[in-house]
Amino acid sequence: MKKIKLILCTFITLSVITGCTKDFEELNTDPNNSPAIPAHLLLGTTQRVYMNVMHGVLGGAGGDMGAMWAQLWSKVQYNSEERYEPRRGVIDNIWTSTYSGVISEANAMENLAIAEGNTNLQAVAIIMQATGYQFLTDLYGPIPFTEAINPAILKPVYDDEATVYEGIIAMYTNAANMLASGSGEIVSSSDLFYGGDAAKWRKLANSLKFRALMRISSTRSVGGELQALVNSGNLMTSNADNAQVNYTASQPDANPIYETISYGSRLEYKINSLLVDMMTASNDNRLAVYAAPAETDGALRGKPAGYGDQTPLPNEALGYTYSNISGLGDFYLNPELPGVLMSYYELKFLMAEATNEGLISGGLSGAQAHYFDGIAASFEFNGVSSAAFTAQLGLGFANQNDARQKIGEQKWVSLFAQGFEAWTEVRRTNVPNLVPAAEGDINEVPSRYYYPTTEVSFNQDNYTAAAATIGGDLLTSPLFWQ
Amino acid sequence: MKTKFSGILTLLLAFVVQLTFAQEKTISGTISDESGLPLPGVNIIVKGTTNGTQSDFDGKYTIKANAGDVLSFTYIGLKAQEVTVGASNSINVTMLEDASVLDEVVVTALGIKRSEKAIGYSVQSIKGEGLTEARESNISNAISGKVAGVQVTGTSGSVGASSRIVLRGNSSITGNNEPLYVVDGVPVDNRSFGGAGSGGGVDLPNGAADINPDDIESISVLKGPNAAALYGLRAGNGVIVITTKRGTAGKKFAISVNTNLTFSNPLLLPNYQNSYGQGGSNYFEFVNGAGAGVGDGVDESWGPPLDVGLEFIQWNSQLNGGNPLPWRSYPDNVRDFLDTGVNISNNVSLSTDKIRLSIGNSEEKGMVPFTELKKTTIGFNGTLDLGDRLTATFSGTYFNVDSGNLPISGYNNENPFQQFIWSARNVNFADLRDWRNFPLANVGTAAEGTPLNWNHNFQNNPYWILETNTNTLEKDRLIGNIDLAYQVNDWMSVSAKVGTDFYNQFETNRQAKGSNNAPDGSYGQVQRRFEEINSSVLISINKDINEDFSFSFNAGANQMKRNYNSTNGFLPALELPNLYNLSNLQTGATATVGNYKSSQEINSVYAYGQIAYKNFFFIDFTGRNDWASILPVQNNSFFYPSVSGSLVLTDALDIRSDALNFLKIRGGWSKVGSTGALSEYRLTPTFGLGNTGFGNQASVPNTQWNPNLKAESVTGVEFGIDGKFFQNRLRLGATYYNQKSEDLIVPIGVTAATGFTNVWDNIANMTNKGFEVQLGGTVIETEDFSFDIDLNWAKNENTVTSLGELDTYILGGQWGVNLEARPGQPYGVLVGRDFERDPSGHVIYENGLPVIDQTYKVLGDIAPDWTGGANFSIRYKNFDFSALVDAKIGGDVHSMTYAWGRYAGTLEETLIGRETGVVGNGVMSDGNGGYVANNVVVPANVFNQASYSNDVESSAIFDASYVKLRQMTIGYSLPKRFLKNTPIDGLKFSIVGRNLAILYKKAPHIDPETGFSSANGNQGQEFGQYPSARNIGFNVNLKF
Repeated sequence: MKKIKLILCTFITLSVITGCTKDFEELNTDPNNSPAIPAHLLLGTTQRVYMNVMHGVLGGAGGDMGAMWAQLWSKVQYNSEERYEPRRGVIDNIWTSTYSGVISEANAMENLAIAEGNTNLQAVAIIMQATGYQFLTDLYGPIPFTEAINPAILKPVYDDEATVYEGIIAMYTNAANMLASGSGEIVSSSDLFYGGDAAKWRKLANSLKFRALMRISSTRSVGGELQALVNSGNLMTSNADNAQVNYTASQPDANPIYETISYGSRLEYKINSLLVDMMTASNDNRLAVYAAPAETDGALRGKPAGYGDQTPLPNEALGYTYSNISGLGDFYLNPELPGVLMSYYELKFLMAEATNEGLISGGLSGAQAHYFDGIAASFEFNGVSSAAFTAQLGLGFANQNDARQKIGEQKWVSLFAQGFEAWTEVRRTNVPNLVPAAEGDINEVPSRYYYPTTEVSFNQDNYTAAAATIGGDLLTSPLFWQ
Repeated sequence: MKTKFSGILTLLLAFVVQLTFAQEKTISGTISDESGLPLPGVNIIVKGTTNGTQSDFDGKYTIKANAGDVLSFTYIGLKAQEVTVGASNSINVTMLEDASVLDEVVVTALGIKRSEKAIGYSVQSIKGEGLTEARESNISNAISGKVAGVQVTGTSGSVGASSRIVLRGNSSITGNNEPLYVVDGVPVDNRSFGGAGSGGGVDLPNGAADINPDDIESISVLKGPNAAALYGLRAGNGVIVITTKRGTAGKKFAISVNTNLTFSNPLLLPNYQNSYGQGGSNYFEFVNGAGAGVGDGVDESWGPPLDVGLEFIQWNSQLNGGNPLPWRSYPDNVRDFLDTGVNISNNVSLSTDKIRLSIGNSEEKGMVPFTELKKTTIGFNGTLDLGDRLTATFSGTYFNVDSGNLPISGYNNENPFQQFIWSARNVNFADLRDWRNFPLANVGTAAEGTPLNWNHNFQNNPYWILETNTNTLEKDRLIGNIDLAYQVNDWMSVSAKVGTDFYNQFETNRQAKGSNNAPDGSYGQVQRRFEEINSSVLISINKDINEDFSFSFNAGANQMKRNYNSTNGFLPALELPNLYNLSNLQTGATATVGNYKSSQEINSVYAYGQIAYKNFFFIDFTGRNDWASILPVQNNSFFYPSVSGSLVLTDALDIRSDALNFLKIRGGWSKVGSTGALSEYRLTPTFGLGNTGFGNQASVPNTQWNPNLKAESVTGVEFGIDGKFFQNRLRLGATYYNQKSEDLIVPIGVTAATGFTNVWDNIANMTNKGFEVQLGGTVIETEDFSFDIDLNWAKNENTVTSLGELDTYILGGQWGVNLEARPGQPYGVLVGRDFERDPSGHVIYENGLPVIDQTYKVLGDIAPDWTGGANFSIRYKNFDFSALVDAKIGGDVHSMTYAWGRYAGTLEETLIGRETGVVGNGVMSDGNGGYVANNVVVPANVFNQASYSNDVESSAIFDASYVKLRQMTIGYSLPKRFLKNTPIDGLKFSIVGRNLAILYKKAPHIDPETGFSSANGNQGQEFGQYPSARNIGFNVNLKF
């Protein structure tokens, strides 16, 4: 009897132990993360990640494969990217961060905003997606767009650039329209660009659309749409409208330029001699803001792009040493330097170009007015008075060709800390006309990035098809707007 | 008729009388082995009758017998004993080893002691004695070379380094591939929380490294799924079963004292060049160490020739009035940078026949200056007899681990070995030790505010880093269990057991202001709490069906509950210098704080048993069902069966002879499981919330979770043969196994264009096939002299058979090289770029420099072709000598020490062509589509920098084979006759050495046994490794 009791007890214990799988579901509910959030908490994430990727010096599109390829900056050592041997891991990372950290988050924000009935935030989410896609297509060419960000499609097809661009332009248009009559709060603390100002977002949507149309202006007629944007009066009107993240004083939320060069002590980043020579020749007093005096003699001195393959760097004989070449100026090494997505002065230079090309009304004199507005705004951004500079003779336009050159050069100079945008506009306009880096891996300035190495593994068929449409996955395959 | 009747009557009467008057009574007792451990499964028979029983799980038995009866105790492999029943009702027996059979008793799953003869799978054990003399601080390292089929990778020679063990090859793609560790029946956590990787971080010891070698009685390695089947969902990678020492039966009171003192020095260092100094030209001048002078901004050695009478202003001119100093070499500057490591360990244990107490203390001072690790353990265990039928056994060990500083490894400015690769060969690094009396680095340099160093662009003073930027570890841990066993009757017992592994761990990381990695300083701390409780019950039935058949059956259940939480804080910038507290956040900076909690349960029921026929044929079966909380409810139940058999041919066929003492064949089939890399809360999506410098920001997970996941499985068959020949002088064991891992959980990489970076699914399959052979020989055996050789050899062939639709899965990597799993290849291929080659395989040169092929391809793999070990032991009178050689042959390693060392001009090979230039070995275009030998001379630095860098990987991949003289001991035991009149039982003095020499290797400059940490993705890669430690010292063991 006693035995039977004991056996019984044991089996009861067994069944008690094994019977309690029913609370497993509760046990496996995450106590660390939330199943639901308000939509606005994703806004700052998309802005922060996007600007970090766009301006990242070593790990983004701003420095080694941005400002370096635009020949605004140069390096006195470890410059293989400058010689057109990009770091493949960084290329992978730009793609991944933009899709999964910017576009996907903005897409989730759009869905949450729709559920909340917040059309203003919904429009903002659309803008962030559109600009993310534009960044990617300008870097790579054809990209997944119509089938992207769909959990049911693990191998999305690549769309050609025209399709992507028309989609982006429609998104900007849609967003601007929604903002014109939108409702709902954009929580100011979550909005790193505009502190929740919907009117400024509307101007941004239109200004980004202006830029997108200009970029594809060689591929189709864009004049009517540009003129309509100008007529609407809802474009950026001052530097106060700039779309920018005001970085904080401390990493990891400081400006990526500071984080790499100062915080990460990569002092091989220097100024390019092309920029120094051009600015010196034009008595451009922004140069003292851009460049720091060389340690050897206090001069503002640059280094041309390249070297280091056949010619060792740093190089005493050529004078390309750490101490002999100017680094970036203190203004640009400030941790709180804003990371700019799009500025008023860039818009003005684009408007000057559009006017000069007859895409919008105003003629040569109208173009010149936009151009001087752009210069003044750029000087203002740098905290320098433009009076002395603009007072110089010969700054105005002699003719359309002269205007093309001058607008392009000033735009290039103004984009000093926006390496991706500077390289992109140089690729489009060929102003200034760059001499490829000395001892480069290829004999021209790259037209695009390689596709990420991960695409070969994860989406091979679509990757192969896309690469074939542009003449191969090469740095030199031209983009469709080039 | 009458006679007949009376005869029957007499018989009957006699019978009745006997029934009435015989002194039949119940005899009970405990059977133990020589080490005092209870011995289950011993056959007890009343001689001349069929009345018999077996001892239970705790070695207990009861049997009915009469006074004067003779009880016969038999157990395979042990000497049979006969005891005559006397007045006492209790008979305890210690079974002694039978030297003539030499059948080993091994500890198998759930701590069950079994005769090796009776088991149908391969189990190999290591005795504790071998672990304390030539001691490894990390017990995982001590297994290396001793067990066939075990691959041990000690990551480095720094104190606190983790170690990785893989049994019979990797079986999971992303999950833990290391075996489960079980101490006295309680699973213990073997995680390493170190953050070391290719980009730097601190490697922390793995959990098993806490275990005190002095407390170990034996280690059983359950290599395959058959041996480990009873651990079900946790058995996928095999199990290491550690049994701790207990009181010795029959020994009233014993004391054992062990003292070990060893000194460490580097086993090897890279071969540096000593002919050219810092810079890039024929002139050098130190101004600020950041490029203001000539050559002082670079950390490369392409500068002026050394030891030719030149004098330049150098870093230390600042200590000498600014005067030029001789430009000379310091060939031993890296060796001189290091200290002699000192390792002391002391252990005292007290024991009676029932209880053992042990206190151990070890202190290691690393070769890397200012690194250390201290460990203290206090252990106790014992047995309580609570009446005739109830026994309680208990054991508990408290561990304290404390380090004031563990070094940072990987590619990181805080790793001093980085500045010995990116280096100036004219610097005597030891001179930097006096940093407290140095001026500070120049204003405006990256090292501003920190003591003078030879370069201020990329490096801080290395001694300053090690002394001020410390990484601490404190850990308090308790492992213990209580087991209550009740003997229901002579064939049945029940037991209940509760065991726990519980620890608190606290880590801090400090970086002073001015650190190259953290100009404003930084401080981080992590507090962790881990707890796992296992509760189980077991019913055991042992029955002899008749004289030929015996039968045992056990059924049990187990519940595993695990709770973990951590709290971490990190300050990216400090307000006040040298204050490391979470309140010391620089104004404007953002602190990161976070915490994580997790809980999980696995509930299990299991049964196992054995049928034995005539002690030569054995069938074992096990079955276990697990329910795991981290799996989806509809998929959370899994059944894991196994069956194995062994047939002792020598007994079955009765062919035992002097030449053939023992021959057994065995085989088995089994299925076990694993949850792979799946952790808690990985089924449904949630949003993360982070506090950034911009305020709170949420994020969407990059992983698409999968509510339909199931557990991974490992199914295996194994066959083997064991034999003993020539009076057991020759011993052979061989096993073939074939294991299939299926439904492996992989976070499938997907294009980020989906919005995710990975999707979890059960997609991968992998196989491991191989052979293990153990060969032992007693070459000489006399009274005074013996010489034994034990060899083990294993070959494992691992193939990733499927990755679903994936072409590859990236496990890890450094610079341009990836460590990947690819279908059709062994787990862990090194993928990177090679040079362009002509059809005959020659490297193609253009303008004298090699052309790099930008396609990524498989350049090697980390799986060894075979591993093996050879142990030699010689005994002469009271002297003993042993030597262990182990080998890992095949497999590859990618060495960034080599690539950057050639790039920076610091390695010996960079002397080639310094004055004359280099003509690369290969071909160049002949201009007509063909190739001619390359004849273009390029400067040596240009050649090296084009051929060795992060732009090409094949030139830094090497065969990782090695043969090491792993350990040697020479011992002398004081003859017993000297101790006769003392309380001392034994005194042994040994000279010991570990990691004494690398007898063979192919990879230049480095120890190919390396990894950034024990994690999957950190294998097969190397940069700036801390040199492996060669430990030499002595051990004293004293027994009272």
